Amino acid sequence: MSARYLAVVAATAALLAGCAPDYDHTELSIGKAPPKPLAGSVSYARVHVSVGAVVTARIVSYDDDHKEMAAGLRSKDPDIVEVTGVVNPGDYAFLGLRPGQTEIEVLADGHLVLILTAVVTEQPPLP
Amino acid sequence: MISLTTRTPLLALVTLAAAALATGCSLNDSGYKPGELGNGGFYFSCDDAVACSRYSNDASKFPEAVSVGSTFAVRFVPKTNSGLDIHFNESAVDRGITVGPISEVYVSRGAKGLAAVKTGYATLASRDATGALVDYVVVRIAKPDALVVYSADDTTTSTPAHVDSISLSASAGDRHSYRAFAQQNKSDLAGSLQIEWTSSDAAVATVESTTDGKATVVAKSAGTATLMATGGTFTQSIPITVSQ
Repeated sequence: MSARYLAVVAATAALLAGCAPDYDHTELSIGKAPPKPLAGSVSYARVHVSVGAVVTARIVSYDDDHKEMAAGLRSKDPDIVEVTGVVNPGDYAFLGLRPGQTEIEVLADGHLVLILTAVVTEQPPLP
Repeated sequence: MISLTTRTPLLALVTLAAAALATGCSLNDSGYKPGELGNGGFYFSCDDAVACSRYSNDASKFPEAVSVGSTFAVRFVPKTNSGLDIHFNESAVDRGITVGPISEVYVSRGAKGLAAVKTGYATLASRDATGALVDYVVVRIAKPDALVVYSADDTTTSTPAHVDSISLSASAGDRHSYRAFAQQNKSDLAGSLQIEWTSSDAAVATVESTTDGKATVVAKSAGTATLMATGGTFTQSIPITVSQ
């Protein structure tokens, strides 16, 4: 095999590797918030939910070909906030289990692409 | 880690008629509360007709609030994926869907079903066999500020008269039965509330039995006494007058 042939193969492989789509961005929109006076919000920076309450959000990551990437979410402390999938594709639920603060990791194709601070607070007392 | 997967959506809500046939209860269209995610409906039930007479078996409506200290059950009926898809013998449990509190702070699982343990808002979630959230409903757990005592002797009416005082005849050997349910701000609270019934003077009147939350008061001798019903951290006193 000639050195010239090997060089062509290597160049082609490099080009193909360079053309693989990369992570581009994550779109996030709040779904269902709990009723007042319970806390429930989701943004690119923070998830806030009361103990015993649920807030949902649609979270989808896209590559630079504008295709959805295989997404995943995990809580660093599932005793404070549990993250679970919803039967509606792309939707996730954040369940407040006990007061505290932790982080939610958003993964796309298995790679960490976003970290959300998660805060769980006590419910306000009932009148 | 939770992975994003495609699941077949659960579709149109099983009709009330189907639910009624499946459970043996008669329901109406207002009997369920739609889940917050729109994937089905929740039914409320108590397993006795005592403290929660208005919500016995499958309730005619989902209650506004449940009394702290009470037990109850919530059933989920999912939507199906072919429009009005009636499965007479298919329950949510058959589909691997379970209902329970997301945390045990406000509602816990007990031997008698769900138990309201702390005032506040509890979220009851239905999950499929994989643990994914199908839907949820929020229930307010309230502290009673009154117990309403009513006659349990007349089972023909769904709205028995409230009892403010009791008159019995000792010579006739009178015995009357009573039940109670909780209220807050004059609104009924649902849930099977464990009521403790006592008489202040057993020589005048005794509480003979308290089966299924129903107390039977028996006249013993002429005089006055007080029937006390205690439940949900609240005590209701009813004066008893026994004539000869």
